[in-house]
Amino acid sequence: MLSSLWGYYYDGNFLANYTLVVPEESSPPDGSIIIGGGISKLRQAYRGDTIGFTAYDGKPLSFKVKEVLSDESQLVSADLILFSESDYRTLSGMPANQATDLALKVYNRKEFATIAEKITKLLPDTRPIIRNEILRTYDAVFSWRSGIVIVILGVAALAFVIFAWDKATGLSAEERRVIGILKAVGWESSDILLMKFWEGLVISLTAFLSGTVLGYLHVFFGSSILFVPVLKGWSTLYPEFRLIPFVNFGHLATIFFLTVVPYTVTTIIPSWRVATIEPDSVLR
Amino acid sequence: MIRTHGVGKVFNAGRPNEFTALSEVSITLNLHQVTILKGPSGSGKTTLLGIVGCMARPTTGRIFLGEREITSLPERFLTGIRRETFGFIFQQFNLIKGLTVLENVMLPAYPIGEKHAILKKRALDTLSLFNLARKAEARIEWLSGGEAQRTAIARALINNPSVIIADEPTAHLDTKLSHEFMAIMRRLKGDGKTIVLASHDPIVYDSDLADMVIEMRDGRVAPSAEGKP
Amino acid sequence: MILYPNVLALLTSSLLIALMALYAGCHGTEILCYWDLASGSDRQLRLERTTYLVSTIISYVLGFQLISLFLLLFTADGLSTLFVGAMCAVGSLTANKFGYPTLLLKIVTFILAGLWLIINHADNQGYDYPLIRIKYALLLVLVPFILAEDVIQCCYFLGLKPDIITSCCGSLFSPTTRALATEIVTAPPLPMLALFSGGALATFGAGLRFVVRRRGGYLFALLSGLQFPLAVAAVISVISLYIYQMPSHHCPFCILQKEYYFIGYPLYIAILTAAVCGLGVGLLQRFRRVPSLLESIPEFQKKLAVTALWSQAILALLAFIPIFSTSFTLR
Repeated sequence: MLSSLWGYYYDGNFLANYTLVVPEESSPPDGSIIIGGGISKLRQAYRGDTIGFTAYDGKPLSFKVKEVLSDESQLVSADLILFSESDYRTLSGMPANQATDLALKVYNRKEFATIAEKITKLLPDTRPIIRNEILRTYDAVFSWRSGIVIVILGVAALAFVIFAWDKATGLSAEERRVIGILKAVGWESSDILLMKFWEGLVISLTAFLSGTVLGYLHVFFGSSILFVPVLKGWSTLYPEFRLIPFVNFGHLATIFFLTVVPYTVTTIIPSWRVATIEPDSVLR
Repeated sequence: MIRTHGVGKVFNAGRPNEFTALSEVSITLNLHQVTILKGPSGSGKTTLLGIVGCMARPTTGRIFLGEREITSLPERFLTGIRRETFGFIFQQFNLIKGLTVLENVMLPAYPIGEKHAILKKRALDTLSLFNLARKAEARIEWLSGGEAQRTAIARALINNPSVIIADEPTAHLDTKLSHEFMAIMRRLKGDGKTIVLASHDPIVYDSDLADMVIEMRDGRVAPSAEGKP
Repeated sequence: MILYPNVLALLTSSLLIALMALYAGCHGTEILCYWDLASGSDRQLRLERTTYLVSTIISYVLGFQLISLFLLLFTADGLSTLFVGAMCAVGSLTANKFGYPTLLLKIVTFILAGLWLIINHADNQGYDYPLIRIKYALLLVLVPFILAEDVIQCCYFLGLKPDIITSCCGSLFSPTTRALATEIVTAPPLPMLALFSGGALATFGAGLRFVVRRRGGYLFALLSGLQFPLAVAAVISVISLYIYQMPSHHCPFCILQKEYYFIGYPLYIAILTAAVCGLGVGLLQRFRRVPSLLESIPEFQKKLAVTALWSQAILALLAFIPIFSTSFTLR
C-alpha cells in the first residue's frame, strides 16, 4: 500500500494550471523540485533557478529547480512539477495521515477485480480503479478525438464523392466519341471496362500515395500543424513534442478504405454507362 | 454471303419518339462483289449497314452470315465476328486525335491481344500499301484529307477482314479524292474482298465497279432495286 | 459507439458494397423476369448491357470482401485493448454476440461471390447465355447474404461497449467452457495433423485425377469443400502451435501479425482460394452437357482445378514448414 500524493496548482500570475506530483521513487530532495518543459519555458526557469509558490495558508514558498524534464516526455510532463513528500504536504496542507489517493500493488493480476470488489465492500464510499481501466479510458479519449476529425473528414469525403460522380457522369462529348469509335472498330464492352478500371486505378493510387506522403510529411515533419488544436486540447501550457515517424500498414489500409473504395464505387456506374455505348452510335 | 430476312429496326419503341428505321428488309449480299446501298438520308441505309456489319441487333427479323445465324448473338461474340470479318470506313473518318497514324491503325486489333511486335509490323505493311509508311509516327491532326482517308482505309484492313463496309465515304471529299477512293475500292475488290457501300453520291453508285445496287426508301427496299444498274 | 477510424472505414465501405449489391440484385430480378435472347427489343438490349454492370459490381464485391475480412481482424485486434480480458482479436469478437457471425458471413459472402463469378465466366463463354437464369437466381441468394453481413457488422460495432468484460482465447478455448471452439482446440494435435494431411493428400489426388483424366469433378469438389473447414480447424488446433511455438496458444488471428511474418495472410488466402476453385469445379460439372459450353467448360474447369492444386500446395508448404523447421515439438 502506498500513498499517492498529487494535486493541481493554479498560478494566477501566469494563468496556468500545474500538476503537482510526489513520485513513488527518486523524488527530489527537500527544497527542490523537478519541473516539466512547459513550465520551464513559461516561467523562464532553468536548472538552478528558483520558483515561488503560494502555500495553502497564503505563505510564500520557494523551491529550487533541480532538473528540467526531458523534451521527449513533454507529452505527459509539460505541466508537471515533482515534489518531495514533505514539501508537498507543506505546500498543500495535506495532513500526514492523509493522501490524495491510495495505490495498491497487487502481485496477482487475476485478482485485481476480486480485490477491487472487496475494497468496495469494506469501504463503501471509495472508488477502486484498476490501472488498466485508466489506460483504456485514455485510449478511448484519443480515439474519440480522432473520431471527431473523421466525422469532419466524412463531410469532405461526401463533397469528394459528389465531385467524382459529377466528373464521371458529365462525360465530355469528345470522350463519348472516342469510346464510340473504339466500340465501332471492334472493342467490346469488357475491353472498355478494363481500360476504365486501369484508368481509375492509376488515378486512385496516385492520389492515395501522394495524399499519404503529404500527410506523413505534415504529421511527422510539420508537427501536424493543422490538427494539433483538436488533438492536444485547450490549455495555457502546450507540450511541445515531436512524433517519431513510423508507418503502420493497418492505418494505410484504413485510409485506403476510406478513399479508394468510395471513389471506385462512385465510378462503377458511370464507367459502365460509357462502356456500353452502342457500337453503331458513331454511324448516326 | 450475308443474308437478311425480314429485318426491322425500331428505335425508342413504345415512347412518343418511336421511329421505325427499317422494316421488312430482306437482302442478299454476295461475296467478292461490290454492293451499293443507294437512297436519300433517312432511308435507313446507315441503319442497315450497322445491322449487316454486326454493330447492331435488329428489332425483328433474322440475319445470317454464311450458314450461321447471328441475330441473337451476345455482344462479345458479335464483336469477335465483327473484328475478324468486317472493316469499317466512316463518313468522317473517325480517327482518334492525339494518337499517331500507326496507333490509330493498330487500334482494332488490340482486344485480340496478339504480340505487339507482330501487330506493329502488319500495321506498317498495311500503311506502305497506301504509301503512308513514312507518316506512321505523324499525328492525325497533321494529315491532309487524302492521307486521312487512306489511314482510315488502312485501319479498316488491319485485321484482314473479308468484308469492307463504308458509310457515305465520299460525302466530305472533293471529286479527285472521291475518284481516288473508288480506285482503292477497285483494288480491294481485285484482292477478293466483299465491299458494301452506302452512298447518295453518283460517283459511287453510278460507278462501273458496282455489281449490285439496292435502292432504299423510308426504311424499305424500293421495288425497282436489285440487279446491275 | 467506438469512433475508431478503422471501424468507420469498415462501416462505410460495407454500406457502400451492400447498396451496390442491392442495386445489382434489383437489376438481376429484372433480368430474370424479362430476359428473352431471341428478341431484339430495346429492353432486351438494355438487359444485356446490364449484365456487364452486375458482373462488374460482383467482382468488386469479391475484392473488397477479401480485404475487409482482413481489415476486420486487424481492427478487432486493435480494439482488444479497450476490453477487459481481451488480448487479441478473439477477445474483441466475443465482446458481442455479433462478432463471430460477422466474420463468418464475410467468409461465406467471399466464397459465394467467387462461385458466382465462376458461373458468370462460364456463362459468358456460351453464345446463347445458357446459364443466365441459374446465374441470376444465384445472385438473389448472394445479395441477401451481403446485406445480412452488413447489418450484422453494424450491430456488432454499434453494440460494442468498451467496459464489457470479455474473454481471451485462453479462456475461450479452455477445457471448462463447452463450445465448438473448444472441441476443435482440445482435439489431440497430432491426430489432427494426420487428418489434415490425409485430407490434403486425398483432395490433391482427386484434383490431379480430374486434371489428367477429366473424371471425378464432383469428388474433387466434395473433398475441397470438406478440406476447407478441416484446414481451418487444423490451423487452430495444431499448425498455429508450431507457428507460435507454444503448446497452448491456439489463436487463429495472431498469425496475421508482424511477429509471425504475416504468415497468416498467405495461409488463409490459400485456404480460401483452394475452397472456391475446388467448389467451382463441382458447380460447373453440372453444365458440361450444355451445347454452347461443350468446349469451354472443361477447359475452364481444368484451369480452376490447377489453381486449386497450386493453392493446396502452397497451403501445405506454409503449414509444414513451421512444423519441420523449428525444434519445437509436441511429443
